[in-house]
Amino acid sequence: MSNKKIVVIGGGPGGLETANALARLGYSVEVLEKEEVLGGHIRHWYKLFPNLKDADEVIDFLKERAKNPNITISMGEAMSEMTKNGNTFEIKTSKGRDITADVVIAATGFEAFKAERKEEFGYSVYNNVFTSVEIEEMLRSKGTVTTREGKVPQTVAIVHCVGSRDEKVGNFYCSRVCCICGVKQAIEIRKLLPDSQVFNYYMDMRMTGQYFEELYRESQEKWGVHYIRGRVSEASQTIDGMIQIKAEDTLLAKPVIKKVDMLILMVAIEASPSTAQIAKQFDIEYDYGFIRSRDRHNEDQYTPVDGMFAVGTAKGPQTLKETLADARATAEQVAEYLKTSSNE
Amino acid sequence: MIENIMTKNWGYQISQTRKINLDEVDLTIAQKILDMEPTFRLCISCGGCTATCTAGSFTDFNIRRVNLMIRRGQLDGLYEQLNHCMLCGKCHLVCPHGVNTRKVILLMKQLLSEYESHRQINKEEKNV
Repeated sequence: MSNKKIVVIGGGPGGLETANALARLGYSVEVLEKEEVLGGHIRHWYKLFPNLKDADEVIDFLKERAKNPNITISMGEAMSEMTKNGNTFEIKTSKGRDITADVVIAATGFEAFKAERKEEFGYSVYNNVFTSVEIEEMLRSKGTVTTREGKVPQTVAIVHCVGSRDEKVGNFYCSRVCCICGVKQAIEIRKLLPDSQVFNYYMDMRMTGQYFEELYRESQEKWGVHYIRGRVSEASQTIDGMIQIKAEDTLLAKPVIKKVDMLILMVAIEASPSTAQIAKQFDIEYDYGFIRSRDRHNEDQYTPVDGMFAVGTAKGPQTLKETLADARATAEQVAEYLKTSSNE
Repeated sequence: MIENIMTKNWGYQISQTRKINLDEVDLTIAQKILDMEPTFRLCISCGGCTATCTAGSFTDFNIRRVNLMIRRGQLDGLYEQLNHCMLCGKCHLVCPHGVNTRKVILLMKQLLSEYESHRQINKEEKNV
């Protein structure tokens, strides 16, 4: 159909589904995945909001679709350098291979905010401070939630906006997925540990997706999850090994303190190093290292660089659902690009 | 007889409204602070400042609430509250939106002391 070389950088959900859709439109695609496994971050996830579907269901679906003669997957091979030379892109891989591509799709994704940067929350200082990602991994591997000492927690606090909406770490933006992830993890903990108490400390609960608000309601109605409107200012460890947190209950206008067995930090979505590298090198940074699309509404799958497209969280925080839809749209836009003008 | 009824205390009185009429409040001081310290605009009332405030743990001083009261023109009694602040600046350190809370408090104290002294003078004049 086309002898144009299409390279997708990144084998997470966005990259894989773009390749899948392109393959079904008849295009040959090569996917570069730096890890030895496909699936990106989602393979660490346990269940997905808002319907608590197994994350594996999505990965299996994407991998099954990727078994297509039009798709070549180069595993354990990362893009180390990329330059544009006339109409083509010269990619150097970590295995020392040189690829010349006509179309590049940046599916380089995100990286979870490093919680150590918010020293006041005591991550990696106190034992029982966890990130939201660690909770997903724990649920996935153990099927339950315990403290680092293996004890069943009685009280758990979830801190929202860790690394998001926070000038102190240089991130003004909202990561968009953590509010609902906090609601989801609170429900999961309450389901598994009926004797536990879970508290969400939030600045705003942003239920932006379809059925998010319903899950929030369910967390209150069915699972008795508590919500305290106030930003946690600091965490410290008590003599009995619990984590004590300070906040203001802003709706009561009083400072509150609470001891918990586990503290979960809802970490932000930040641009991955590869995303930031591409954004910087091609001078197409939106902000915070994410890649800028050509036009937010009309050409959101194109980047300002001719022949380069971007999909998913390489452009900023997105839900998995949005990323998959974006991937299918990207494939369509690539096909349109190759069919129009003299590109094909 | 009628006089008797008029002066009798029946145990009822007209209740004062609790409503803040935003069309009538005086926002001059709020506007001055917003102009002199623009980061004051960025507060989202998360309460991080109050949570970390030492004075707030022991007194009724609540910096988040004071900020809001000023912006709603509710100035009475604020000056006394501000006296609890020790200007340690911890609130400034934790603020996720980079509000220069210390500067805001200093401005408030300055502007509110003028307001308080005017109020005092007005009271005295009325009494004379």
